[in-house]
Amino acid sequence: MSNIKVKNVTKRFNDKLVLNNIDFEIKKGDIFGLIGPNGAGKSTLINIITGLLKPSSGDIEIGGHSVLKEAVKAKEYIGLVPQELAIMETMSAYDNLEYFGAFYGLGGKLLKERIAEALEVTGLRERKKEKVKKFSGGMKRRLNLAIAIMHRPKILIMDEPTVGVDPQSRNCIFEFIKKVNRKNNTTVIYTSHYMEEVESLCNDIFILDLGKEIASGSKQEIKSMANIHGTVRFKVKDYNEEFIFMIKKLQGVKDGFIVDDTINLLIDENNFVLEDLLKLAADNDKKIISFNLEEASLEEVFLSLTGKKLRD
Amino acid sequence: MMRIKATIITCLKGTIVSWKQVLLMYCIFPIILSVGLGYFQKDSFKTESEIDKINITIVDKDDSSSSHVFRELFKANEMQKLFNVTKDGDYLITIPENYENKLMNFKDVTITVDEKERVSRDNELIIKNIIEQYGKNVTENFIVGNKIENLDVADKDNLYNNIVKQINDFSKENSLKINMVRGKKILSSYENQAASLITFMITIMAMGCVGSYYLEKENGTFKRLMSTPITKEIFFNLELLCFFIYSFILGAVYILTFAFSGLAFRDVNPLYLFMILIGQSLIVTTLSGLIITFLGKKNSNLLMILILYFQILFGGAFIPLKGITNKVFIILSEFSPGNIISQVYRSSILFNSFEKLWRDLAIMIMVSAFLYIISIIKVKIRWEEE
Repeated sequence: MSNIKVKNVTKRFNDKLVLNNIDFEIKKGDIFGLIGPNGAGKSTLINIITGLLKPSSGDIEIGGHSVLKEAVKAKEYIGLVPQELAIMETMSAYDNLEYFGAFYGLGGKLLKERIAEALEVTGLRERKKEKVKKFSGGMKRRLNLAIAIMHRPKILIMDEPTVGVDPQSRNCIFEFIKKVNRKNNTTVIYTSHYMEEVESLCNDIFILDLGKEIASGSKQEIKSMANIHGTVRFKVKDYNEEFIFMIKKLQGVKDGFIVDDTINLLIDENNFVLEDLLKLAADNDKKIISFNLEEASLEEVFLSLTGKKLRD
Repeated sequence: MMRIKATIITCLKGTIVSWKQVLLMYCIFPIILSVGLGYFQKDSFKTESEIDKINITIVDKDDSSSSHVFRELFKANEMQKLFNVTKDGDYLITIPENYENKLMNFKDVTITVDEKERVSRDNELIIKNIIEQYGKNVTENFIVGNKIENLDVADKDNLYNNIVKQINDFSKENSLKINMVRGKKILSSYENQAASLITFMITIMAMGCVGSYYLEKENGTFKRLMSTPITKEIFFNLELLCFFIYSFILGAVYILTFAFSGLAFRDVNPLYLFMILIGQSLIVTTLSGLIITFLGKKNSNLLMILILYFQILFGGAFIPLKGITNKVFIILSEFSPGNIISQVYRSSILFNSFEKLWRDLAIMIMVSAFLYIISIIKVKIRWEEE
């Protein structure tokens, strides 16, 4: 059963087309990755889902409610973790939860219970009366999360929640998302321009660039869409442009690029013949120092599909 | 209801948390400024006993017995302490033709007061106040007179003379006297400073409201609140509620500071000050609301800074208007956006009477309602969609 249906959504700001006929569905309990470079249209799409913006055409259904016709009902399903730390720094964690909780329709005893629960889950119980401005960056992030989950939303939208976050806090956030998803069967929409995050966290992925859908589906589906199954990484002594050019022409090689003197070849495993590569190196007196065959990452798939890196 | 309660509590807590800034800006700063500027301006604001007589010229186009009575009003003993009737007065009081006829027939009659050159806003208020009160008393006399006409003929003369005498006595001894006493009260330089500086302070309050909204947008709070199950209209109204609480508290701090220090508002009925505070806060709230619905951050800042400079130059707090004779400057000062608020504070100090306040208060409420209606229509149609 679909929790969210994005139906042919187009958004224009004056003459600028920001989203072009975007159409997808998110299943209940899914962790859905919405990825694309900066300016791809991710935030605009999130803003439409959360009712901040209206689409120029198309509609979005959340739990069967149109965001255009039944915005308030549709928004009851949502908990948003904005990219920014949307908290009041001069107030305590408890005050923040109390304030935003009221906006989610919580009150009285239920509000107190949910505040206690959110503080417990995010490990902020001991510091609940302290002013937020005294918190570390990681704690602020956790409070940002606590506010979004306190009303137990069916859909948790996380808009680039790891921007500017240290690796430890990032792992905490990942664990938190998995836990919430597992425990309450919460649907999670996770936007990021870090492909590796989405790859490790999400079941289904939607790749967006310049407002257009590039690819969507499961990780495997997307990789097969790009006809990329793996990456061959190897180091060669004294390589030159002519040698790289010849390698790119080999059968089954979709693309090639160099990172830190390592040659990376995106390959279609069904057609790529390793012997051809080894023979080419031997014929050109190029000694292979190291060699590795890995599954292609989404970053590489994106490169293959769009011809550009995600974080250019 | 939960959202309203949460907004009120959070807004109160937020204001209390920043109490140091509030005290500095709305308590210490105005006092220092008023004491400083008030001291240097005190010669321009003579005390009651030192007050100069107001020079008036009366032009009688009706030349009737009623208009003569009116002219005599300014020559009465008590009035002579305040007015000097000359041929070349600073104020030209014109009694129109058919003055008596209109009075007899209970039709509106307007006695105009023209200030030849800008002398004093307070003098103008005093004259208008006395004429207004006089007009009211005269009308009362005629009404009573008419009723007597319909009474039994036998007692008519006695009754008529008796009542008219009583009304006249009351008017002369009480109303006019009270008015004169009130009218004779002149603003001290500190009171004038308190009434003028408020226009600057409310601009700062509005800047604070608008600034807090854009801060909410920048730190993602706006996005978060808009994603909760509320409509844009509710969000906007809650935002205005917060603006109102904020500006009400700051306004109250300002008034209490002057009242407790004894520099101004000490003899004013607290209820009147409360009503002015409500009206003033509504203006700040709805003006800020209008700005956030129609303008982006850059343009809002620009507009607020322009208003602030205008208030500094023409609001009377930093450059006293009393000694200024330049016509352009005076006209611009009349258009100063905070003029009405400043005026209502002056009236409250001078007259301490609801009668002298209600018109300005009504204007403040009407302006606020107008600004709110425009803003809410804009919010309903399209707001924050860029």
